[in-house]
Amino acid sequence: MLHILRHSPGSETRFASCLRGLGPQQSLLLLEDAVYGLLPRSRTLASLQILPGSVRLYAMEADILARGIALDDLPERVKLIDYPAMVQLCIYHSKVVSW
Amino acid sequence: MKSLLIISRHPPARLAAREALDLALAAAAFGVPTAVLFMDDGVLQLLKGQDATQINRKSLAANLQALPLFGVEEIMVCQHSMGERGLGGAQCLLDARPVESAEIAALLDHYDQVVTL
Amino acid sequence: MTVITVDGRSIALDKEGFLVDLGDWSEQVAVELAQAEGITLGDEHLEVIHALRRFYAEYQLSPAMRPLVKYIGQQLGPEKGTSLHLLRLFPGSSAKIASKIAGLPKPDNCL
Repeated sequence: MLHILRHSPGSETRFASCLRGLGPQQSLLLLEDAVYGLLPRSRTLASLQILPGSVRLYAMEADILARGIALDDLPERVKLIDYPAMVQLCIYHSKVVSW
Repeated sequence: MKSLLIISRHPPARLAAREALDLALAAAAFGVPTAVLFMDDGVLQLLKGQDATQINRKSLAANLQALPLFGVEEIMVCQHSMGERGLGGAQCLLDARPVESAEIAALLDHYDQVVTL
Repeated sequence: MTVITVDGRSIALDKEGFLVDLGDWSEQVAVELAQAEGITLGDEHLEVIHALRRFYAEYQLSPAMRPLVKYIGQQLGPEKGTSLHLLRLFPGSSAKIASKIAGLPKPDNCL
């Protein structure tokens, strides 16, 4: 299952809710303002990092660059993708949940 | 003339961030003593190194830097909101004055009108 | 839409006389645009025009009168950063006319 987040973790509760609903073998894709969850030293980054190693984390590179988040500060487990790769991810997963 | 405090609370890609900036520029153009406070996700507007062309947007960051030229001299940023997001003053593209949570009540009291966007 | 010819190139203007393609701008084009406003460009005009283009590159905004006056003062010295100086060079709506000659986009708001 692919979970997609596109809202900032700071503005409401769906970021946290998504993390609660995320199973150990599933994938999480951060789009648009959800990439703020990757800000270094933020609480949200810490909560992403304690997700089980079997959870695959993806983030849209263009959204990260647009918002001034430095790529070299990102944890290694986050895979940066472009738009065609996003389409691939959505096709690959049998179910997509957009929060 | 009555003074105005605009509290900008949303990240730069959200329309509300643009609206807060337009309101500040418009008010200042009419000679209203105007201040802006970046709070909550609004502090993300101040991050250095933004490249809005990546998502085909106009750069809000470039426009923000024109605030002093348009007559908005009082620019503040909520320190608590910065801390929550792991941000420090060095990452700020504007020379914004950090304000403590305890100061915010006084600010709301000080300005004649307060608009939150 | 109208089309002017500068150095054998056709350049499209919108109905208010702003460049359709901002990449078309050159000093020669500026001279033509100014003429349409009844202004003969001199060095004093050109330094304002170039400052305006820097303003746009930096802030991605077409300035209104007040910020323009302030910016010209910072860039070209306080004696030039006055509305009188700008009004003398670009009579009427100085900021708008100068923006047009500088090849900036039509301001998308009234600020």
